[in-house]
Amino acid sequence: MKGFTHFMSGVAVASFGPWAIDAALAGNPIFFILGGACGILPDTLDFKFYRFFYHHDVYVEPDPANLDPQIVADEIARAVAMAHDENRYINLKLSSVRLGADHWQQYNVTFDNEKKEVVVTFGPVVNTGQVPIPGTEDLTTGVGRAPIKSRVIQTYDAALKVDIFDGPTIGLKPLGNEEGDLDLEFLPWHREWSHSLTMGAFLGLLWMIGAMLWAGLPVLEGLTGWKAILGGLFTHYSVAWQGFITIAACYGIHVIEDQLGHMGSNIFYPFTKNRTPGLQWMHSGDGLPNFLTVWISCILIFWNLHRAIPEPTYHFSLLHLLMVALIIPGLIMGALHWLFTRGTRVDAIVDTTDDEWSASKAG
Amino acid sequence: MEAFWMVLISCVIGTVISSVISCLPGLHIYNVMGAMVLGLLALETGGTMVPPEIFVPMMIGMVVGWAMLNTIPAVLLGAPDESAMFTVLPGQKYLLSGRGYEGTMITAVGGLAGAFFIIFVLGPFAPKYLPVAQEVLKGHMHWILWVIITFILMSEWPKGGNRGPAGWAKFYDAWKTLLAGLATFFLAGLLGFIILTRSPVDHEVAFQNIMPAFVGLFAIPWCLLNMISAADVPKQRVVKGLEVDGDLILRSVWSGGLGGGLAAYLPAVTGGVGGLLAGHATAQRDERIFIMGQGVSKFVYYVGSFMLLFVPGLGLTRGGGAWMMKTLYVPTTYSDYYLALGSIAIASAVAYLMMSPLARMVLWFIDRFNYRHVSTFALVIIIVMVLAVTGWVGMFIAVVSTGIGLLPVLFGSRRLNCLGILLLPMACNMAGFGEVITRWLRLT
Amino acid sequence: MTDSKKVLPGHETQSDDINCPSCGRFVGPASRCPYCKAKIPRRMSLVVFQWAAIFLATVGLFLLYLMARSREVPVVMLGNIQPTMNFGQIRVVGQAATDGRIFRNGGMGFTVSDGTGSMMVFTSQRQAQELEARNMIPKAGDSVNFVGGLNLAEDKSSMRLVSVDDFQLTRAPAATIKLKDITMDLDGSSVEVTGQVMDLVVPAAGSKRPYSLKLKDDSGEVAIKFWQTDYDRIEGKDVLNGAFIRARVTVGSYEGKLDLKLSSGADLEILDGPPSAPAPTPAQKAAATYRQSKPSRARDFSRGRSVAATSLSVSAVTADMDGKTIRVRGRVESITPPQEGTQQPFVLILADNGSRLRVAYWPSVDEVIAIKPTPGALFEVEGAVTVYEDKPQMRVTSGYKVKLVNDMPASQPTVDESKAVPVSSISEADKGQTRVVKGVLGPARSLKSGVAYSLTDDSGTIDLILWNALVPEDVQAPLEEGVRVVATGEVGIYEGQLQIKAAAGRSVMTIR
Repeated sequence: MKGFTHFMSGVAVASFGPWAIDAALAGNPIFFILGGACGILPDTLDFKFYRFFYHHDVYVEPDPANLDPQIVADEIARAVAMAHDENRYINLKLSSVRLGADHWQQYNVTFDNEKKEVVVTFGPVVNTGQVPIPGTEDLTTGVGRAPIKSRVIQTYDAALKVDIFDGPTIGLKPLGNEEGDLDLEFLPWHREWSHSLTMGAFLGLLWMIGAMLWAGLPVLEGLTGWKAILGGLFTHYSVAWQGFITIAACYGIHVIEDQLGHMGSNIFYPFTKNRTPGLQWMHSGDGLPNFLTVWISCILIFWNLHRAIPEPTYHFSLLHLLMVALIIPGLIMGALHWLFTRGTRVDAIVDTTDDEWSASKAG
Repeated sequence: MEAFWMVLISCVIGTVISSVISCLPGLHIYNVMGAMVLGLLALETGGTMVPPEIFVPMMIGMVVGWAMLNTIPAVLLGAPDESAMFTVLPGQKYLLSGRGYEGTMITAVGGLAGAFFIIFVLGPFAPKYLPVAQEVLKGHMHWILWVIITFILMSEWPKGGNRGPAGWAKFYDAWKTLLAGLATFFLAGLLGFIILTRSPVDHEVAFQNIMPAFVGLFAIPWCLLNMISAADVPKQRVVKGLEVDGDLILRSVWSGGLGGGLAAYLPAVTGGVGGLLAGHATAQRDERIFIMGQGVSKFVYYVGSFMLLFVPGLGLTRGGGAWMMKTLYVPTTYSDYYLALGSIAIASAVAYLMMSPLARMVLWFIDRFNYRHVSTFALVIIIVMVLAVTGWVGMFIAVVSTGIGLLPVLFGSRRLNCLGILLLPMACNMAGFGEVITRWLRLT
Repeated sequence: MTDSKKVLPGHETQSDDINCPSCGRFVGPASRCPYCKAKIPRRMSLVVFQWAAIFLATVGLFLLYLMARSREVPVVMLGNIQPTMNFGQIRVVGQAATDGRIFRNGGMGFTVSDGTGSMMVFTSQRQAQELEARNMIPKAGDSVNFVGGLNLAEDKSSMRLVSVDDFQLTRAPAATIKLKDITMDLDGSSVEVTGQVMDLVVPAAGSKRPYSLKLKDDSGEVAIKFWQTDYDRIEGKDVLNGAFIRARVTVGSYEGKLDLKLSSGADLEILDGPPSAPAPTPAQKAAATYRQSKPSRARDFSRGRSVAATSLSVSAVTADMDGKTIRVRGRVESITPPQEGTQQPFVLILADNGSRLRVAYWPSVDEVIAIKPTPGALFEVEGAVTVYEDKPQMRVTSGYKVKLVNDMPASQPTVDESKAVPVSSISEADKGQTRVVKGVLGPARSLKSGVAYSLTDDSGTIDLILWNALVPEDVQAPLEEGVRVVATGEVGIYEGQLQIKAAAGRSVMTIR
């Protein structure tokens, strides 16, 4: 899902902690900030930090002055050969091609396992909004083909399209079978250790330790019985355990939401080594699921804040709120959309590019 | 004269005045409204009372006209230089491909759609539901601002670091823009603390004390950039039809209405921030939706925030226009509310009808005069205005703000970071620890 | 292969300067080509401008900071404030015209007056806490000197305290007077009293009642009331009983009787022995005692609006005024808050010489009203006239436009004892109706936001519920077990039990 969706989901999860609302009413916004920040943090770690330190074995950097698809195909084939011959994981970087301030040369890479070759075609020039510039479709002609030593199996259906800003990384992993097939991992630096529930718990633990050190030792004099002592400890270290729950839960909701898409996440790193494929219910950049998640998060936050008012002037149920804020407007919007589009054939645009990757570049 | 005709005529006059002013680059309608407030107060001192039936619809007309027509200079006079390495906004792409007129008209359609949204959606429901929202959210505005700040700072992705081997050099190349963005935000925030706590501007004109800072952060860098590096604008085409349909308008209203509505309702959140949040929330990719959504968002932000002052039983003051209005008149009745909605409707119609001729006039102007000269002219107007209202102290603030406002331009980070000037001090003040910071800064 | 003869669309307007002169590739603003490493001639590096901007921003900001720090905030007379000063910071030198009042949100507010005008001053929750910790919550008559940020509006101008550190407060001198000299003439004044503590009545746990300290000197005996927060701040509070003390109290009245309140816990000092200071002369008393003066008349911001400068009487409001905004003055006959779970407005009935006027406003408006309307008090309201069934009504949309003129009841008592009904006559069918009951209070039970008593008369017992938000503290203060009261309120049912929910204001009255 998109960054804002994760962010709002995190804030919504944080709002379920009564302590978050109590603290906010006392002028302390920390739990809501933690909620939003931890909601988006897994992607922040990947896209703002980890990827710049991720080692690549082969860099494919097409020359803007000599856009030759064959050179690109040959380089990719060389990377496949390295993975095959040396029987090791090879990271391949497909760099973007900048032609002007707002112009980028798009190119596509396809592995044809039937013919055991890689096919590279240069597409249109696109602007920074990834919209093709009219008249540039045939600007660069020709197709680059190069034989590959192994079949490259794609489990994640992202097309290898390179255009604006940073180009993608491809991991070529020997599968160890008799045919010597390679597994293609799209963005191997993404959704690995950072996208795990254990990482969320670990960060929560760091917070907890810090907060406990800050709070110092509790005074338990006069407390008798384990219940009273436990209660005293919980009160003294309230910011520690409340922060732990907030961080772990808000970080975790990101991992869970990502699991609804295609790529999946390495959920229990380091206990699990690979990404668990997602449920494939949606693409991470789909407009409607993203908006619905954001909007439902807003409604839940509103509901939790309303519940916390001791003597509200206005009384309403969650169902009432959902009807007014979600269902009725949704039905009206749906009806208007149907009215405006009836009779017109809308071709579903199936863009298999990883939307999160694209969104990170456009954002 | 009957009140009906007084309202109608003053509303139309206000709209026409602001429509013309909107085409002049650099001037903001709030500055003009400020001058109008000064004039009304001077008249009052002289013993002449101007009835609210005249100045209320006139001010509404001015806000509506501005919200609708300010697109003209934004699209037609904001040509980016191709040598600037940064992203070009969709509206400007229309200009550079000779479709500037089409771009402005699509935004105008967005403004008109925004007017429909305000009259037919916000108008009937605001008195019923906004007090409910206000009761629930009133003690929580501070953390909502903090959450927005967190998102603004965390959601800017690196634009560099695209080539070369992994390592610190690549990391630094990527983070240059982000660090510049953070620096802009915090420098602007510091400026905000100074101005909002101990403004050097004379207290006699304190109602405009943030104006020089805004001019420096946004308007002057824009003029300077155009003067130094404006591109040659190709011949513009005037078309009779627009490439839009009902569904596109619907989706633009959805996206822009959400962004503009958020910005109108939340304190210190401007249309730009609302647009950013709505853009991320609705995930629309079509450039036409972006452009039209900007029209909707801008209209709902400016007009909606002004309208909140009129919502019976709500008592919310949002935006510079509403604050100025409040010094003259505080609406209290449904009669005032209907007056506001009626004036918005009339002004929107008038402003939309003026869009095409004014856009053509500006296109003719661009064709006749050098683009750089237009920007120079705008800069002169801005400087004269700052000097006239706030004197040399205000000019000094504008110069300092220009330094901050140039950072995102030169480093390629988001200009939205300049809004730290309002967001940071207001979020701190609303959470109750603003004084801790001003005390630490020795400002208090 | 690239067709090099074609120029990219959009690049027709592109300057050659942005391409490398050596290899022709796009280099943007770089001063060295990233492809062929050639130096780009006649191009000043963007880095220079970047650093120039950073330099300008930081140095300029620092100079601005120095300028702001060294600038003296101008002293402005409240009467000279102009709308163009909105959002400005000014220094005010004047006197607190009212006691500082802590709001439900934790903030504090008081009215400041400087002889030329008066204005409400608000503080944040944190500032209020700091002021309280420093014992600097202003009392009427105290001299204040502070910097405030102006928030001007046509009808409700106010200031926001900028800094607690900068807030200077000089307590108004209070005369030490004999207890017998404290009379109703001193209503609203702060005085200093000395004497021996004869008894300290501590409220029961969970009770909403205040502490009561019986103080005696050689002239008489009085009771001083204070709350738990004040008690906590008294130094040496454990030895209060029997101790000689000096305390600063505010003189008030309740139901025609003297009501002394401790100004603050920090204002009570335990003395080593009996006070020896001679009683001040009447002249000294007159000089030292601050008598609460009426705040200056607020500036008229009406600016040509069609609101009459003077208030109308209730009987002068007619249906012809439909749509007009008017100001009316009248006695509060009743105040009905909205029923729980509904979105009804507060309904205030103003009466005057037999005429009645219905005034409605929303709960959000009620929250802003500084002094809530109570039956019998004289109030002035401003709002728009509406007509229902040919009768004029008023709708008020701003809490600032509901103002107390005089809180002394006109003639009749707050609760009409003659309308009292036997408790046993109240049934479930009366739910939602207003009833007057009379009886003896049982033990108090603390509720989350109020207190409940059982009320017993000859016919039976019913619960009397007093919500803190509706029934003022001074009404609740004398209530305790065994006290005989007459109360009015709405009949309600909670968990199958009938109850009377005391109406807003002075709805409970002690009787003999």
